[in-house]
Amino acid sequence: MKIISIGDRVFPGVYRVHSRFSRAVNYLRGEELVSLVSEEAGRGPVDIVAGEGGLEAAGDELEVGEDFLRLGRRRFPRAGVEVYDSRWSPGAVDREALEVNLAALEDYLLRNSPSESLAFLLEPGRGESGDTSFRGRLEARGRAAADLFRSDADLVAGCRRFKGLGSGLTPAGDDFVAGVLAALGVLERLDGVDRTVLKGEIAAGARGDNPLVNSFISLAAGGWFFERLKNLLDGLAGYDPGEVRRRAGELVAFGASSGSDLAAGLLLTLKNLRGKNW
Amino acid sequence: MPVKGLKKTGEYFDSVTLMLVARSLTEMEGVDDATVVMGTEENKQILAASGLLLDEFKDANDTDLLISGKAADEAVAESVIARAEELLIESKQKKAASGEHLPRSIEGAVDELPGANMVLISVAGRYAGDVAMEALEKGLHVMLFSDNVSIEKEKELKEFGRSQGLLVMGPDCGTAIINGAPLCFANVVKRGKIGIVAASGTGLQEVSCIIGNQGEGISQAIGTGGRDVKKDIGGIMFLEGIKALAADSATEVIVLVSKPPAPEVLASVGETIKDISKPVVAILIGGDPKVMEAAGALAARDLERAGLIAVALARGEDPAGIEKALAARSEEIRKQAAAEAGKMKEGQKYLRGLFSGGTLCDETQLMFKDTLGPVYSPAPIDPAFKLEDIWKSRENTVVDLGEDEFTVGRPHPMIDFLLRKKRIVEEAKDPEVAVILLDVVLGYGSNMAPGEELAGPIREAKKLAADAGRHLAVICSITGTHKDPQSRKKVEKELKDAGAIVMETNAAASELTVEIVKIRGGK
Repeated sequence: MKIISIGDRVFPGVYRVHSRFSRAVNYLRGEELVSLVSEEAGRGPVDIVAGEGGLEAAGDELEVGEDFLRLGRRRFPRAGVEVYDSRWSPGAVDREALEVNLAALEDYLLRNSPSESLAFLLEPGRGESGDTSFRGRLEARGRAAADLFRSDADLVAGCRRFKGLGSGLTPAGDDFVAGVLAALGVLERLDGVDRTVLKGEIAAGARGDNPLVNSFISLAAGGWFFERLKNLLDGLAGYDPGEVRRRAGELVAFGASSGSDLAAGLLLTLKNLRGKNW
Repeated sequence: MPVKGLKKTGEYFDSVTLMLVARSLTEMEGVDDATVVMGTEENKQILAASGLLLDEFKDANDTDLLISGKAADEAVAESVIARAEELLIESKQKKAASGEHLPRSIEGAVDELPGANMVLISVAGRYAGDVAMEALEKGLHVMLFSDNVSIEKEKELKEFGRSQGLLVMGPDCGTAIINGAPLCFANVVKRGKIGIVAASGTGLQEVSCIIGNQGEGISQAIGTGGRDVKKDIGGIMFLEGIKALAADSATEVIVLVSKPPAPEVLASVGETIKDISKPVVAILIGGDPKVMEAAGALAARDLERAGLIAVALARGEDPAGIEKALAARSEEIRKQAAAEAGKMKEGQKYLRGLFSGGTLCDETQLMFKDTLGPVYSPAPIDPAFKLEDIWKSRENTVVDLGEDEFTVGRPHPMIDFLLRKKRIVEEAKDPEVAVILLDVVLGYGSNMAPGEELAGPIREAKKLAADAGRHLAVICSITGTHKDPQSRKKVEKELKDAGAIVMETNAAASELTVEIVKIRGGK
């Protein structure tokens, strides 16, 4: 068994197991999350990607040292193990191509997102049917929240309404807010306007009792992105629509609807808040 | 309406499990509404507004799981919660049971099953080539289902395999029948005297099913992956497959199925079969049959004829009788086409073909090209007919929904019908559409309830058309045998009950479609 990659936001310490799933084992040290993940799950800022047998070997404790990792009783050297760089650093961005690619992403999400996701917010009219079922009311709330995405100031209020909304261990609304934060990071890159305070306000409003949610919200606010999201951003910035669709597909395949929800938050924010100078 | 609920604290389930449980609950009979959500403030507010918030949920926090069901009566509401618990326990048991060791390397697999001489590989493309080479180095034949393997790696694998006397089926090989075992997407066909080498998955399926449905059987059906017969690979495994069947004592007739190989590959195939004493039937979809005929093969012009010729040869019968039988069928098809076309409204004239099998899609394209002219497609035979927007048909259009653009991030359309179901209804809205043509592929790996799933959209499509005063012909072919897990008979009935016309082969379905479009002036 080998360690394939360690995220750049994995810090030394002893972590205790929080939850186990087929592709990931989550560990916590206070509020700090580290996830031991399979190769299929991919790389991320707080992910340790293990080769075959890694998750099976995962015990109740994970220790991260400066030059080693300990899973249960087994120690692995860190020397030579790839450190995943989670910052998004685009080269020159072709603005025209970006517009075309955003349209391709929107089209892809509308056609391929699971019915439980918030991607419906990209469809005009959805959430206004008056359906009184749980789903119908959820869509109406989502629509009301998304209607606030008109300016930076209203964005904070809008994101508060998405907090904890919908299905999933990490609720759809929280994934959506992570997408909003990622989009604000993208806008900063493109228009040079610092949005640290805004992102901080949104992240603070999104924190709750779920440490998994708190972790990925903080990471998104800080501009530390997992691999599938980074790949999509690279695709949007510099590739053709076909490649954007392919990368969108990889993101949509993440979780039950998390990938779609995140992409929807990203896209809605970019569409509504990009200015003339971006 | 009564509401029952359950709060689970300190237990974590992944989002996919939660989604699947929620879906199951809402589909239960008598259930008005059901949810499975985390106990966040926002969710609790919606639960309250929907009448699904119980007192015990009020102090729940973000990490508590809330399950709620509203139903026609108390018993049903309670059964919702019981079912949710069952499903969540099952999901945990599956995880615990998978603590049994499942090998995840060739080495581990070989240790688990000593004596195996073949490996089937389906891992991400960037790893697949190395895994396949590891298998070959251990002396194993390889079936490589994975795609996204470079052409250079494919050549390396196949040259090495050839040097070791090992088969390399793939990459992107989705179908094979080896020693009677259907592998990946394949059908249940009895063992017999006819061997197949195919650089086409659904081509292999269609031919093997036709053979099986005629009462004959397959000795071996070797897939090579679609790129094998291109210039870069040079037909390495296609040729090795032919030689293997030539040497196999159980094989008496050999069938070759492929799209047109590169000219040099075609020449090599011709040279190879000249030395074979067994009869060879060749179907090169869209290719010039003269090279094969010059080498002594019987060239079939479609997959159906290839299967029927092979059956005749296996029985020692003269294949010339086949054309007579098919001519009689064509007469019936023309009458059927006239009847269908006669019910249509003015303006209805076009075909929309929605396929899950690439080769079947190509076969239909060719039948159209030979009679009425090229059709639009994302992968057209005539480049001038490239469909600009793959999501929007125009005039006569055929689409292979198994192409990469449609399958990124989702299962293959032979398994997941979601895109096709949506598209059936969309096409029905177009007043110029006369025919919607569908292939329905049965067998292992394919959707287990195709008739049931397609029946709804077919009905909806026909009703949409009927409400607008139009008659829409929905024509289906079934690629499958009566031994396939889906039950061909049941599927046929479900499709017919939904109003579809069901033809026995893709060639027959395409012929009927061509005739209708011809009458309607679609070209």
